[in-house]
Amino acid sequence: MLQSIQAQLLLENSKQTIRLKDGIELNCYKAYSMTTIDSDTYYYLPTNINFPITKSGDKSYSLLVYKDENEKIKGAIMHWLVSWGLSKSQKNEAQLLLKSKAGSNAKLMGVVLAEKNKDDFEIQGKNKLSEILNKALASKGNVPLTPNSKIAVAYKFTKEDALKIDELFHNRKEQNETYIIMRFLVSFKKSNGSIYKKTIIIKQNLQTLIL
Amino acid sequence: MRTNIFKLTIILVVFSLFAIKSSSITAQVLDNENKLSLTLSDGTQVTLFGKAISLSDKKSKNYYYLPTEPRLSVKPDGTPQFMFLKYTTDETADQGGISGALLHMLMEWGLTPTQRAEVDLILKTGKQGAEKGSLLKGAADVVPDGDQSFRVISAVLSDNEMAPTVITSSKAPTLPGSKIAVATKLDANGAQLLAATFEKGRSITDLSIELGFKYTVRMPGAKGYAKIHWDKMKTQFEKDSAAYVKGTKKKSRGGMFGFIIDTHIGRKTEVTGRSYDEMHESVESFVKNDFITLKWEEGMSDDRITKMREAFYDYFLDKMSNTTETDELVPPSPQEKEAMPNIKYGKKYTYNRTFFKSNFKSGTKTFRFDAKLAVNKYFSVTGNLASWYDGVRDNEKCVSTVFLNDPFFQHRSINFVLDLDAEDIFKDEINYVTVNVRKKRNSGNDFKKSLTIDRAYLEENGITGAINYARGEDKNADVYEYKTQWSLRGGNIYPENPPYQKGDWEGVTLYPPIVPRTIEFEADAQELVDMGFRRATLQVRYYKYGKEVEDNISLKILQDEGLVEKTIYTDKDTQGYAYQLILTHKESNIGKLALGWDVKINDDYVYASIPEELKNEDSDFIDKAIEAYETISKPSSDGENKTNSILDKFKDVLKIVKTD
Repeated sequence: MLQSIQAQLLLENSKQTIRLKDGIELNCYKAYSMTTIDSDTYYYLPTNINFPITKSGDKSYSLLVYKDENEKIKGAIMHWLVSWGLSKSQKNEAQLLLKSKAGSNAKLMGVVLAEKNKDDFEIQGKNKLSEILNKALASKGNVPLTPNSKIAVAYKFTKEDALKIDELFHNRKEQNETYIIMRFLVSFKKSNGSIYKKTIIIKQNLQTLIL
Repeated sequence: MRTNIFKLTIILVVFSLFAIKSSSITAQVLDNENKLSLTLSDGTQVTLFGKAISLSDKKSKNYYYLPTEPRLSVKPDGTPQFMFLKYTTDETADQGGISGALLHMLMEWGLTPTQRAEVDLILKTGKQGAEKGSLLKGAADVVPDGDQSFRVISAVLSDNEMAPTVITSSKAPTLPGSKIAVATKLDANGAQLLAATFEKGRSITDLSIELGFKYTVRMPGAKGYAKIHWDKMKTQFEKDSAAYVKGTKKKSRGGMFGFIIDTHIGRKTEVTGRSYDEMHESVESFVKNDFITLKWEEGMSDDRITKMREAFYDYFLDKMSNTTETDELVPPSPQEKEAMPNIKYGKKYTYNRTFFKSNFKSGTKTFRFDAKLAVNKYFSVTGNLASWYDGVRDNEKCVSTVFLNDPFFQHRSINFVLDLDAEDIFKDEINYVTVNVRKKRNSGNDFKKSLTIDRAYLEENGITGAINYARGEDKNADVYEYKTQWSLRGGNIYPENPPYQKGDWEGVTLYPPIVPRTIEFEADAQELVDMGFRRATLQVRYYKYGKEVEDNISLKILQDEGLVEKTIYTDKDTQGYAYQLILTHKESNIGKLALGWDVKINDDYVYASIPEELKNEDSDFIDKAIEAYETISKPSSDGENKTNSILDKFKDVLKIVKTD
């Protein structure tokens, strides 16, 4: 029987951290290759959680608070499409920065092909918004393993929470303290040749996603 | 230096050392090292892999694409296979009305002909990282990622009240163009809420679809080589042999090769089998002294690689030694167990003398191992309905509303109400009433149903009853008809053959054929007694069920009874009754006097007025009264009750319409 899903193997001691001008931090690693000796090809770990822009130019989230016939709030629903990864221009910028750090032969191939991690998506925070979001989670998909693909998340709020969500969701402080977490499993090779898997966690606060 | 290369390239699909279920292997294996990510002009991201070339690291120019984001399927006429149908009825929920929506959509993945042409061009012209002359061969072979390979993500659709029914395909489709379906029935709130997220101005809707797949790629699994420096080994061997010959005199085996020299020079009496561990130990000493160079690299963490490593080592050992099963039951070493899980007894190794002899001349010999593994990778695509909804929003074939007022499904209640006064009649006069309903249909299949109301029915259901009528395809505009038949005390049915009457959709009140009349009969008892009368009787004639009946109401004037009441039941279509006063005198030669018939119209009070002639004891008057009584008290010659004729005299006044 075919074994568990495998991903690319990164060399543990080849880490290069670069920061793009928009503040996105990239951790790049040399890829272990059995076919190429001393490869200068690098892959970056998943980064940059974002709400992708829809064709209409909007960020891909929708909050709908609904009322009864007496104009009293009855409940609310919210839908997110969340993505991660770099845009073409960000990747080009990262390529240049990598060359300046790791040598002119360094080539950024793209994102490492990670494996699925258990509990791959989470809302984290000790504030009210995080609490309500976690409570209201109705259904969600899987964190994609390819960049710029999406995970869908749907929330349904009770009447009580719906009374607060509109204000909380647009409150900068609450946004800032609410984190979206994604987890991946990446394989690394140590210098002694042994291979291990490590959970890579990326996080972004809601404010950064919305703005 | 002579290099004898034994190259062992193993791809798992053909690697027979390990048991692999053939069913889990797909024919198409993609090359993990040959991946392209293309962005099409419409923004679609397409990931492609080159096909793995068997027993080669060469990169193929034949590419296969992974599933793209799902999209709505389209019928041959161009209509998107999407339906959002809002429905409602005029009736409220309390009245049995319903409101809500049906959502049904078919989706698929795969490149459209336009997208495919664009990918073809990119590959052919060598853009976006592709090598010039590359070809798109089709979609990659994929399998659904378990039982959750098709997910609907939606707050509304995950709510059991708003979406009581959600039916979806069970798994993600594995072929481009294969359809997956989502069908749901929404209640009124769910329908409105989902529709609200469809509206323009909403960035995304509350409905996303996720498809999860696995695809198979070939990955470098492990590489290794063993380089044996036979020339170095020979030099050392010869050095150790000389030392051994010298040493045997002292019964000592010196030098690095001492423990195999006996094998080599043929002192078999001294040879014992070596265990697996001992063989490893000796090989390790070769490695340590640079007689053997062993290199092993692993490209992934995988149980199969561990087994390959052992298999490679065993292959190498087997080349250096002869192996036999032991004649003693020796437990296998841990390494042997790992390499051969089913092994029960350890192997016994002896060095292969021929191998050693022949290879001492070889200089350097290299064994290579290059294994590639087929592994499954996970891939998911997610689409949101907003991406497709703009294309269907104004398409009436896709988004529409309907009022559920099709007469076919109309059920009408034909209501009957028993007249309030009738309830009392059930106690005294009527057993039950049966209503037969008929609705003529043009198709000929007339609707007929009956309702029976009796005392038990009244106690349980009250005075109303209904018959439900399904309109179906009835286009006959005529109203229904009904006929009523009453069961009377005494076992009679009235009317015996009732005609059908035209009904009324508003309802029909069931009036019994008779109505109660409470007759009050009063007299001056003392006056009558003083005149010698002992009883005053009011004789009444009236129609009941179409027949003339008589009733007598008596006043016991001797007991000073001045007023008496009695209820009679007359046909409801008569306005009154006929009556006459009968007085009974104490003298037997006078006896009973009948004072003549009169009529009462809508007046139920009768006072026993004494005619002046009687007060004056007019004998002619008295004789006529006596004769009148005798006439009514005797049967006629034909045996018929002569009273039949009484009411006929007052027919015009009473406005009686006899139904029989």
